[in-house]
Amino acid sequence: MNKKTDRPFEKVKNAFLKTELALSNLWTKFYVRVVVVLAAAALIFICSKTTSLYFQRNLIMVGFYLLLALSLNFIQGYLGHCFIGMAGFYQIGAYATVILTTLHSWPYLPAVLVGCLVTMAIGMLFALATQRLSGTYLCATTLAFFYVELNLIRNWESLTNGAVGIQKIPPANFFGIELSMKNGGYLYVIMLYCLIAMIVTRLIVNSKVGRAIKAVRDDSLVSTLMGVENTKYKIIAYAFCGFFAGLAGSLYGPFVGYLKPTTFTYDMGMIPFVIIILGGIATIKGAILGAVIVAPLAEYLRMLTKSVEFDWLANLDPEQWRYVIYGIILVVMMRFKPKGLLGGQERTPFRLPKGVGRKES
Amino acid sequence: MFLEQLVNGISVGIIYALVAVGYSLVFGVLHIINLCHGVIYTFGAFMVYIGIVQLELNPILAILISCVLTGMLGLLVDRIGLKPLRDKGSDWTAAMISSIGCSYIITNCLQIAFGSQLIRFPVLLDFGSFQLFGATITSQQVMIAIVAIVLLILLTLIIRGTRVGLAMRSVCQSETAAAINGINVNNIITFTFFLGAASAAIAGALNASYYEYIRPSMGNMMGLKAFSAAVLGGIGSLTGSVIGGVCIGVIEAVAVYFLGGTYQDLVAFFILFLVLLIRPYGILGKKESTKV
Repeated sequence: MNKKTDRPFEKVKNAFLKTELALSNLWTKFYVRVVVVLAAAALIFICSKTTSLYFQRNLIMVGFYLLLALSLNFIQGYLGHCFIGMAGFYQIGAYATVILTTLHSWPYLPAVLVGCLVTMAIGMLFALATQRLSGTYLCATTLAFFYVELNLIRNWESLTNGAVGIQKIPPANFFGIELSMKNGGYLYVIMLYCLIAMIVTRLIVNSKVGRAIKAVRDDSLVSTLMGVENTKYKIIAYAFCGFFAGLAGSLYGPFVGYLKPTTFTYDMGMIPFVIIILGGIATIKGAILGAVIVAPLAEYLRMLTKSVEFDWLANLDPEQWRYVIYGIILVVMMRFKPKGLLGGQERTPFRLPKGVGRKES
Repeated sequence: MFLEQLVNGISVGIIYALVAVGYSLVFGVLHIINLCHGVIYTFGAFMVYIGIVQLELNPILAILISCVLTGMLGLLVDRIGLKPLRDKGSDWTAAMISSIGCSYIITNCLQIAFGSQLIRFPVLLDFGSFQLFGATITSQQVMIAIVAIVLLILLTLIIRGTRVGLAMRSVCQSETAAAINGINVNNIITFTFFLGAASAAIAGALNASYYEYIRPSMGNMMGLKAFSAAVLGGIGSLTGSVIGGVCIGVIEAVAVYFLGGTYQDLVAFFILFLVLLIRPYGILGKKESTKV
């Protein structure tokens, strides 16, 4: 019964596996990596010089969501917790920075540092509070965390201006250079942040801390028996996640110029989640691929509806439909490739005998 | 008036209970939490809205049709989102993410169809108001409580008294043993989804007629509050869900009376946090080491 439903997909699956193998073999070659990195750098450089701000703006949004996805990867990918309240950290980081720069006229960079540390502290507190939870309970609690945080920001008027929000946020001043879309500053800075996040991820994951975090994910009982303090490494993972989400938030405030409690929605927090599920959990290249596909999905849909000559397609609203597609991505990925397009490729150091192979989960 | 708020809290709490029962039922048979349940509740309310306002049907007929349609939706979510994963033997994370995906699809389809703004919903069960100890109590509050209690009793009877209920309880205890004894486990799971979704649809209609508006995103908040109620009462236990729902409703009403309306949403989640920290298996739940 089970086999019967799978048969039509068998061919597609095989073709997909072949392509995947070919691509991953290609990726192992050094010159391919150099070319890809150079191409990405060239794209960023060209975009920062063009007068068309539309394309640059989209690339900046990709950067924001890439940074969020990288930070979510610490929890979702390496720690294995299901975290859907990402907009909460994002909002805390944005508000903390903007309150300092706009209402208390701090310079930008110290405010960023404080904003990141505040978000990090809240992330650690959340991890401490929920250390005994796991599974769906934890997932629902992260959503509750987002709503609690949203309501606090809405109600704490003396600190956050309440529902009115904060207007007239000054542009970010990065080492004496005033960032704007014109000089491409925001693009460079967000890409710099992403680069820092990637390097830190890479360093952490291959260190003792990273191995401990992954051990907690794979089997918390065994890791406890091996002397790994589970709570400590959970808190560390949440701290990194909070720090980078705060970093993304700290640039978002000056970039859009105003903040309201309604700026950060549940949907916004779901986008990094979808990016990781699509691209591949616990990989950096997966997050990049996911961000490039998922974040500007509305623009892709707009291009599609313009180029295709069906009337019913032209009437669709891309802003709305992309969320439906996000949902479909989640369901389909869980059904066919739960580790994501580029996930689950970690090579096992030894070959298992035939018939003993690992169970695909 | 404090008494008015209390009555208000009880009638809202019983609606929470009706939604929370859906979480408990599904958790009982599948041991996962169906995060799609809040959206199923919204869908139920919208189907009643279509029936009453756009097709001008009799309200009771509209609610019945909505029950069936929403039950079908619950069944569809199970068949498309969860059953393939069960067959494949995936872990709970996959099932959970899949149900989040389903909820996302349904919410946004509703948003595309109806827009994201508030839509007025007709008042059902209104027969004026009366005075009790100086407090004004609308008949609607009383009627909502009565309808919801009747439904809860009906659900209990189905689960305790019928053969299907017996099968459901045996699947709760052990899927393998139930299958050995000739119970079609998949059908029972589907039936459970249907039952949970249908009760959520009625809860949606009652709540919509009480607040007189509906919107596609209303299920998020309701789903979480009902989840809090189910956790508070002890997830997997029907009586627990009812106790949890009424507790959350009353505590919310008291918070509104003392702190003001803006704190209404905070209170429910604060309770959720507290319960999960202090007594994660809830008031009536059994202590299990796997749960937390």
